[in-house]
Amino acid sequence: MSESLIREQPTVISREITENSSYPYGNIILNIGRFFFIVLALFFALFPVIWIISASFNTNGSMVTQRLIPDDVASISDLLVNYRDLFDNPQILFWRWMGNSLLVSSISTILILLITAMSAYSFSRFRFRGRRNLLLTIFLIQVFPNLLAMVALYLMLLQLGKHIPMLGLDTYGGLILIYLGGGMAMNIWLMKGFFDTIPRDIDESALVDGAAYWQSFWYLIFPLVRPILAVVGLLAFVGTFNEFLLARIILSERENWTLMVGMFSFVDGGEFSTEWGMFAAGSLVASIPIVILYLALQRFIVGGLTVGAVKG
Amino acid sequence: MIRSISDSILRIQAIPPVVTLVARLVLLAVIDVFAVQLVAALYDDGNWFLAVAVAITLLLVNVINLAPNTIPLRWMTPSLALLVLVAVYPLIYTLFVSTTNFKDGHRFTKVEAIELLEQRRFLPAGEVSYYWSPYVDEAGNYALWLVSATGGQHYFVEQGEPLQAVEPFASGDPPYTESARQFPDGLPATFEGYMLAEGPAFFQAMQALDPQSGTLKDTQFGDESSPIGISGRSEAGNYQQRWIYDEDEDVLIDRASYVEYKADLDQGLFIAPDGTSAPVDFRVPYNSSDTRRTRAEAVELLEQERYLVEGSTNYDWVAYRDEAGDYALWLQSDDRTYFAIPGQPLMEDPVLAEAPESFERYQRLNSGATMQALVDPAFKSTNFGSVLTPIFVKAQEQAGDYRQRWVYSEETETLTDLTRNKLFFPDPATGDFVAADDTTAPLGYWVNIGPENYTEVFTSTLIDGPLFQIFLWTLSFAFFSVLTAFAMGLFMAVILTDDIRGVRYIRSMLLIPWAIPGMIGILMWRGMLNGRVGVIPATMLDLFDYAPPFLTDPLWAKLSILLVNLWFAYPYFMLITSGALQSIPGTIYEAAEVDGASRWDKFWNLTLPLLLVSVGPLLIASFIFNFNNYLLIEALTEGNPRIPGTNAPPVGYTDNLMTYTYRYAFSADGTRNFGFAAAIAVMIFLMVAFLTLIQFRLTRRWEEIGENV
Repeated sequence: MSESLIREQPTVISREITENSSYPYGNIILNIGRFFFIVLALFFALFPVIWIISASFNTNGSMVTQRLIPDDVASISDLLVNYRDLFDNPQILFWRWMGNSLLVSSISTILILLITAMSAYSFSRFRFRGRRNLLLTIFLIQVFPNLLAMVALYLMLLQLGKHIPMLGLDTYGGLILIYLGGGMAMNIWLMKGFFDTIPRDIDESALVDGAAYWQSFWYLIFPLVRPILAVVGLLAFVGTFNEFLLARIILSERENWTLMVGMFSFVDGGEFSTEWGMFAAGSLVASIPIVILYLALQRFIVGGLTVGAVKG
Repeated sequence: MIRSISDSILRIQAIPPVVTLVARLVLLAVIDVFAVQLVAALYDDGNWFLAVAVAITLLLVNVINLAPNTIPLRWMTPSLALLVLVAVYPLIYTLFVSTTNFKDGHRFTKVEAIELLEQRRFLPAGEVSYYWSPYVDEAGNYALWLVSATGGQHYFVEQGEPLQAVEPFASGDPPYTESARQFPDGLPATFEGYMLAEGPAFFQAMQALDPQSGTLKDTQFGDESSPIGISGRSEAGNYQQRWIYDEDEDVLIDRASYVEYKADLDQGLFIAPDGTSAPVDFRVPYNSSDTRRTRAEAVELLEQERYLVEGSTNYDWVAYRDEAGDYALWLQSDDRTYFAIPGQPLMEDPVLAEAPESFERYQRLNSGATMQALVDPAFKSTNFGSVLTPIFVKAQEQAGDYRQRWVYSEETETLTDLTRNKLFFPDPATGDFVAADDTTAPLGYWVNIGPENYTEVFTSTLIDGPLFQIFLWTLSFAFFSVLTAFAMGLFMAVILTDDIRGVRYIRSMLLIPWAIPGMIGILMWRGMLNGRVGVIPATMLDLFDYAPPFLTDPLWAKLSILLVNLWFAYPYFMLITSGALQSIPGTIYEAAEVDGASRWDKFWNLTLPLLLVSVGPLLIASFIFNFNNYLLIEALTEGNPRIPGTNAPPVGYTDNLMTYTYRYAFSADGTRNFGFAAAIAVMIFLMVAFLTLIQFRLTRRWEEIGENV
C-alpha cells in the first residue's frame, strides 16, 4: 500500500497563481510543434486504453485476431461475449473478488482515517518534547518496505491466527491489520498539515468551557477537516484497492482473493493471449470507477496534498 | 461557518473528567485481559519472539494511558501500537533472521522433481499447434473442432479416428453459432452426431479437459498417425512429454534438445554436459538445508521417523476401533491376511477376502475416521503385535515392524541413525548434525551464524553471482525512470499552456494512465507487447517485417519496463510541475529579459533550478519508490528473461533487488533462504533510509531557500 501512496506524494508547491508571462504566443512553427507533441502525447496516453476497450468488445477473445473496430459483430449481444464469458466462468469469480476488494478497502479506509486523524490531532494541537523527531522516526521506520518484512509478517499472521482466527493467514482481518500499519506516516503528515490551518482558538475556547479533548476533536475539529479526510480516505481506498503483493501472499484461497490478485491470475495461467478479451472486459469494469473517482477529484487531491505540504 | 462552530460548542455538554477517566480505564482493562491471554498463549507455543513484541506493545499502551502528562501520546495509542506490531517488530525480526541460517531446503525429493519434469510437454519441431473447441455427443464423448494456429485450416477429430479436414460453412448442419471464442467464422451447432459444447456444457468440457487438473486430461484424440492432445485452454496438437527419466542410466533426457542431464547428488541438480541444469531441482537426502526448526524441534521430528526392519514384512492395513476407543488392525500381506490386536499374537484370517465390517468387539473405521486415527498419536504409538514381533503403523498402506530410526541422547548430545548405526554430532556453527564422515542428518536446525549472510551478499556480489548485475539494474532503472518521467512531464507542462483551447480536457485525458490501477495498466501493456501477437509487435511485423523481442531480450525487456513506467509516471510529474511552474513569480524573468537572455537561457538558468527546488524532494521520493518497485517488474516481465545458470532460485535480467529478494524468500522452485533474503532486505532498508534522510535534509534546506526567493 505504501507504494501506491508514494505515487501521489504531496508537493511543496504553493498554490499562489501568478501570471505566466514568459512564453510569447503567435509563433506558428512553435505552435505546430506543440500541436504535434500534444497529439503524440495523447496517442501515447490513450492508445492502450482504446485498445483495451476494443479488445473487450471483440467477438473472439483472442489477441491474435483482434481488430481495432470489431468487424464481425452481428448484434449487441455479440459485443458482450467477453463480458458474458468473464461473468459465467467458474474459474473467474469476478464479482466475488470485486466484493472482497470493496470490503477490505472500505474497512481499511475507515480505520485508517480514524487512527491517523487522532494522531494528526495530537501532532497539531499539542506541543511536546520530541514532536518533530517522533514524526521523523515514524517516517523512517515505514521506509522499510512491507514486502521485505513479508517473512516476518507472514509468520506473525500464522502465529496470531492460531489464537485469534480473525487475524490469521488467508483472512481479511490479517490483511487489513497489515494495511493499517503501512503508509501511516504519510497520512498523518498530510492530515497534520491541514489540521494546522484550523485556528486553535476554536477548540481552545471549547476546552476552556470544560469540554473534554475528545469532544472538541469529535464535534469541532472533525467536521472542519472533512476535505482532507476525503483526500486521505480516497488515497487509502484506492491504495488498498490496487494493492497486490501483500494480498497475493496472504490470501491463498481462490474465493478469498482480491480483484488485483484475481486479475494477475490471467497471466499466471499462461493462456493470456487467448483470454485477452475476458481480461480486457474485467480490466475495464475494475478500472472505470477508480478512474472516474480520480479524474473527478483530481483538483481536490492535488489541492489537499498541497495544503498539507506547505506547512512542514 | 462561525455560527455553526459556536453552535457546536454550545451543544457540547461538559462531562466530568472522572467519567472520561473511568471509561478509559475500563477500556484499557478489557484490552489488557485479552492481550495478556494472547501473550501467554504465544509463549506457550514457543513463539517467545512475538510474545515479547505483543507484551512490549501492551506495556507501551498501558504506560501512555496511565502515566500523567502523556496526553499527546494517548491520542496516538492506536498508531503507536500498530507501528510497533506491524512495522518495528518485523524490522527487528528481519534483522534477527538475517543473522541466522533460516531456510527451508529444496522442496521436492528427486522422485518428485522427476515427476514434475515428466509432466511438462512440448511441441516437437515441425508439428502444428491448433486452437480447439469442444464437441460432445449424447454418450458424453468429446470430439474437437480444430483450427491450425498458422494456416487457418479447419479439422474435426474424434477419439481414435484420423484427423478429418473440413470446410467451415460447407460441412455440417446449420445453424452456425458464433459463440465459440477462437473461431470468428463460427462453428456448426451440430456435426456428425456431436453437439457444440456451449454455455454450461462448454465450462464442463473446459474443466474435464483441463490439461493440468481435468479428469479427462489424458484423452488422446486422433489416431496413431496424427495424435492430438490438449495442452492448454486453447492449444492442442501432437504435444509430447518433454523430459524422460532413464532409470538404468540415471539420466534425464530433454527430448526438445536431446541433451542428457545427470543427477548431481551433492547439489540436488540435474546437470547437462555444458553445465546448464534442468528447471526443477531436488532435495538432497543427506545434505538437507531445511533449518526452520529449533534443535529440539528438529530432534523431535527426526525421532518420529520410522523404518522397516530388514527382512520383516510390510502390510496393507485397515483400522478398527472398539467402544472404549482402543484400536485394532486387519492386515494384508502379499499372500495372507491377519487380525492384529494389541498385546496378542497375530491371528490369521482364514477368509482371504475384503476386510470384514467387524470382528470381536471392533468396528471397522470409515476413511474419514482412518485419516483422523493417522494423526492420533495414540494410534501411531500403539504396538499391534507382540513384544517379539511388533507391528506399528507408519502411514497409509504401511504397517509392520517399523522402528524408530533416529535416537537422540540428551547426555552425550548425539543423534544416532539406527539403520546404519551412525553417530551424528550437532554443529552449532552451521546448524547441522554431522557424522564423522562429514555427512549430515536430513534436518538442520536454526542457529545464529553471525554476519555470514552479509559476507555472502558481498562475496556473491563481487565474485560471480548475478547480484551485482541486479544491483546496477535496480539503480539505473530507478534513475532513468525518474529522469524520463520528469523530463516528459515537464515538457508537457511547458507546452500545455492555458491559451490552448480545451486544455483542461487534454490534461484530464493525459492523466488517465495515472489513474488506472497499476496492476491492470501493466498487464495491458504486457498483452500489447506480447510475443509476436501483441498489437505492437504484430503491427511492426506488418509494417517493417521486423519486431523487437520486447519482453524476451534482456535489453529490450529493460527498455519496455522504462516505457511502461513512463506511461504511468509522467502524468503525475506533469501535474506537479505545472503547479510548480505557476508558482514561480513572473517578476524574476523581467530582470533576465532586460539582460537580453534567450528563452533557453531563462529556462536553463532560472526556471529549472527554481523548479528543482520545489520538486527535488519529490524526485528523490520517486527514486526511492522505483528503487523498491516490485509491482512493475513482477507484473510485466516476472524478472525474465532468465539469466542462464541461475537455479536456486532462478533469476532474470530484469529482476531488481526487490523481486530478487522475493524469489529468495518465497520462490516456489529453489531453496527458500530466508536468512539470506533478510540480509538483503536489511541492506535495502539502510540504503533507502539513507536516501530518505537526505531527502529530509534537502526538503528543509530547499524550503528555506524557497522562502528567500
